[in-house]
Amino acid sequence: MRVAVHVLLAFLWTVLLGALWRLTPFELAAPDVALLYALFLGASSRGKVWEATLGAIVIGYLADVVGGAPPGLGAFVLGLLCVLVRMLSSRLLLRGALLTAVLSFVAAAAAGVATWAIRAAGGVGVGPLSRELAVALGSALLTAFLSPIVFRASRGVDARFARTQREREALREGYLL
Amino acid sequence: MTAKRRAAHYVLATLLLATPFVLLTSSLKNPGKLNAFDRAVLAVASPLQRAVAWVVDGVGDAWHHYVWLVDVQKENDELRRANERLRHELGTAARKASEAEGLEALVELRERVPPPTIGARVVAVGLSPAFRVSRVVLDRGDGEVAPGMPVVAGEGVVGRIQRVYGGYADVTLAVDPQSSIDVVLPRTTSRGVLKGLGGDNAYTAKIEYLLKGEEVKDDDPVVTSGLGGVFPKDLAVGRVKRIVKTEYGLYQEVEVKPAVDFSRLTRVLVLLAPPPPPDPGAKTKKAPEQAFGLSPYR
Repeated sequence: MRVAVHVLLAFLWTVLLGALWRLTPFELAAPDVALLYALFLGASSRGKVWEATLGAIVIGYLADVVGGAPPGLGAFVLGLLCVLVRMLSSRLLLRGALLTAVLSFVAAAAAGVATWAIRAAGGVGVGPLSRELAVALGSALLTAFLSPIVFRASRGVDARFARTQREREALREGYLL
Repeated sequence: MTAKRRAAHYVLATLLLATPFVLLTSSLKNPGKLNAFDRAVLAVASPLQRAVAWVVDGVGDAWHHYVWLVDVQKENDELRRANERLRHELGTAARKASEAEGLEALVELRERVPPPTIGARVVAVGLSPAFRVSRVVLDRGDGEVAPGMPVVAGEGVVGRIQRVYGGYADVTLAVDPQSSIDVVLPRTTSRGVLKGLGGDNAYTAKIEYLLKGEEVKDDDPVVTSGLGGVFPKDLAVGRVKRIVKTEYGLYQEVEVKPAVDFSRLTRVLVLLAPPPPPDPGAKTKKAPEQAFGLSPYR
């Protein structure tokens, strides 16, 4: 249920941001909210990594359909990132806005490069690497800028699903359990 | 959670990752193809995006049309000031262009008219009760011009200098009842004397002593004959405006509309000497006196 709520929120964010982003001065680069939700699911999965991965895949798939990308491309990249972040978070304590932003920036940049590589390998039309990299970096920066807000909101959602008081307080203090 | 169970979860996650990979391979083969699920997702997403765009556009429009009026007011004021400035500049340019045209006509006239001339500026006008110009004042006075000298503009005959006082000279217009100019109609070569009518409603004059037998038509040009000893030949005087032929008498009445618009006069030429008379014995006569290097009219 918790994962489903995050998937739904990620879908709504993606749809709303897609409609609103055209009003901003950033023409090419846009923050990847779907990626942030996939990261959050990976970093906050409680043991059942497949559950988080499934959520990330669905989020990626929905983002692909709404954004006009080849269906499965974002799903695959976000699912992979979710698993990797899960493995990373089992060894590192992810806490604080700065660390969240850094993690999001690295993950978004990696996702951008991975997406470009898959598209190139699949024969889908891609632009020059320098331009794609510039767009990926711009998108990564915007994603990192937005990440503390999305993570905080997602922790708030998780707090509602907390089974114990201790868990709820930990989530409010900014820990990803 | 046991290591075996954790490993099972990772295996399951890896298997799940294979699903989008398969989907991706399929979609890369048929890029434009959408399945039922895709269409359902778009059916949900599209109205949402449209609604958001509608709200955002509405708010943006309201902001720009109703709230953000401070700049509009400022811009409006700036545009109004710019408009006033441009109108003023346009008026000045039009006035200068008109003056240039007048000067050009005067230069042309100066080259065409045989006697020496002197340019003068109209500095004042006398108005009739009906706001018609009855006389004009030139900025040329004693020692420069003398009474009786003909005055012409680019368009044609203006009149004659009536009196000179100090640095100024009064001009009797060709439409003044006191004015009398020997004229000819080039089409018929018929001669007459142009006398001003001095009407309040329009600048008009009439040709006197024009025989009834002369076939004068409306809009016929009227020019100076050069025989009066005052104006040189072929200067435009005006055009025939109205012809009245009575049953009795020798002459017909012909009204003439002057070529010059007296209300717009700014610069004129004063002819300093009469036109050279066609006198074969002129060489034996004494040359006219020179005043200030110019030959004054007598």
